[in-house]
Amino acid sequence: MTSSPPPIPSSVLPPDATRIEQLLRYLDGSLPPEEQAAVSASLAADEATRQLLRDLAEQIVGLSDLEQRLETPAAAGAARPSWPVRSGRRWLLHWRSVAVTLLASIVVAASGYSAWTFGGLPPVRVARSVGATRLFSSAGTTLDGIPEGQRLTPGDTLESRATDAWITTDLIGGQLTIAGNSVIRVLRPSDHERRFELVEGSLWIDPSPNDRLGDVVVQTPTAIIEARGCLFDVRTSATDTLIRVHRGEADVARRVDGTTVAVAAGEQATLSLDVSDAPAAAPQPHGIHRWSLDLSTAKRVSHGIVLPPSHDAPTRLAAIPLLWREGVDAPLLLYAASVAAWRTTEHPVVLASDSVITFRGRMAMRSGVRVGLTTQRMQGVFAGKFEVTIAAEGMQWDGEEWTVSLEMPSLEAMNPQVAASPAGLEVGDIYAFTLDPTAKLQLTGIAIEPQAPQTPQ
Amino acid sequence: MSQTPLDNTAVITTIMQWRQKLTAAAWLVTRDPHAADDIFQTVVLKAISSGSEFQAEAAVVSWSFVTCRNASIDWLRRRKREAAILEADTVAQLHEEWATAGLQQEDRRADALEECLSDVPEQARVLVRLRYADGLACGEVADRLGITLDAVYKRLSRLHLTLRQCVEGKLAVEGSS
Repeated sequence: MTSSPPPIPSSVLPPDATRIEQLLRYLDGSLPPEEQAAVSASLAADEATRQLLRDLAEQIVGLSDLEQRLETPAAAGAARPSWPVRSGRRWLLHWRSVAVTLLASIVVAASGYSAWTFGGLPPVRVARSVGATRLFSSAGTTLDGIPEGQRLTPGDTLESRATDAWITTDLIGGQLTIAGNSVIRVLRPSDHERRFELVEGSLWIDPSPNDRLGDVVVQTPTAIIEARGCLFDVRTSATDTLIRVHRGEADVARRVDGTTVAVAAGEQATLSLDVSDAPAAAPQPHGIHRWSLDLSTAKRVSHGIVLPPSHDAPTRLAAIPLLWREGVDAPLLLYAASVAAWRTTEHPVVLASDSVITFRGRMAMRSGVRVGLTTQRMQGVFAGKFEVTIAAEGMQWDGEEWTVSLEMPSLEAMNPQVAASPAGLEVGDIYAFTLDPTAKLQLTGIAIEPQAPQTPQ
Repeated sequence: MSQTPLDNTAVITTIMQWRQKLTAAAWLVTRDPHAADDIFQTVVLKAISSGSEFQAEAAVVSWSFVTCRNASIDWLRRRKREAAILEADTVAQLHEEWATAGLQQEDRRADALEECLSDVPEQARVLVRLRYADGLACGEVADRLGITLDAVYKRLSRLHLTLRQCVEGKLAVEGSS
């Protein structure tokens, strides 16, 4: 390929062009050693040179940003040169994913799926956003309450800021759902590979049956997951990541040392910062119908402060403020306490039709409370949240202590309704909250157990 | 008298206003625009999750540049890249000057750059894409375009100067009107 002359003739250029060229060569390390040293000395001593370098750096990142932003998928195929481009950001490039990518391109091209062009992927859009959500856009804006249809671009960060918030994005060919208290970043796609970073919390990838989703890469603080046509969920913290595969197979790499493990359907793997053992896939443990929260041993809670036992009270989880916003409504200040059931046991906690959930707690003032839980389908995806409001008179009181027992039919599926009943679903987070700051809501225990058989009369 | 710490929204809003400069600061160390983007996002997330309290915007800006610098150096170390070209003291000096220089028409500057870029010939756009969007080294760009390495540097430096003058010209006109 040949190129026409640059836009400005050298003869009319001020000396600045030479200085810029020198700085560009300096940054690339391509000047002769003595000249490289001279520029270093100039940068150390001369504020004007540093100013020029700062301006240059700002312009370069601005140009990079503009070229990425202005390049639409449709335009990319037409205007882009046809040579292969180095992405420099693909961590686990190997022959298998290359083959899969090429195969996907051929299949997609043959199927006439025009939205998926060779130069880029269709945009990621928000399909649903419930509860307190926030978008930090790559363009530098902050948006509270992410609207449906919001287009996401590389660099955007989505945050579901409460236990009962969630965000579903349409990936064309599948969906990505982010559970409550989660932070995810949209990374720049590589070829036909969608890339996300789950900073904390949980996500589900749910490809549609016709499998147009293509390759998906999810990075967490401790793992990199590569999957295609794979139904899986990921839960992560700063120190460990649990991936569970429900359909297909995913390749997972431990970030700290690059060790990989293949996780097949029905299996799970935990990858942490600890490298003493090689990561291994293991069958997913069976679900349990009995579970109780032991706050004294709970490693982490989702929201709230664990208070140590005192002379007249056991260990308890104190509700703390949470600004809750949905849609365009004015935000509400809630006082919430929440626990991630999955962090307290390796077994999925599964609700049955005869399950009874008992909440125990304390309040300084007798007040109503709203309790609820988030769920996911066993071997499946996010299944929504269920809540119910209990008036003060509907609770059992003993001084400041209160108890509420709930059967499954009393829990209401929240809008948008994903499942009709929590029976048969796995518990994610389980929580209680109040609007009353004087109540000083605390949880001392939560238990799930089958309903006691009724004694014959 | 003690001040009320800035809330999360105010902290994030401040960092977002400095996005271009923080990303540029990360780029100067990593010389990888994609890594610079990621490092900026890391700064935002650390601001959300670190629990740090800031009494004023200036403190947020100062903290952000320090965090950005540390994250950029970590990025280099993790990738076992060759030693940074810029000396550590110079990087610190550049970042400090960035933090204290303040913001000047930042929103408009990005728009002006876009307008100016739309006026350059397609060949120059190709050069920008290859070098800064696709991250090709200048030698690789030269191979692609079938020109010499010297020509790539000269064309890039002229383009940077053209765009700089164009942007400053537009901002000056708007500032005076």
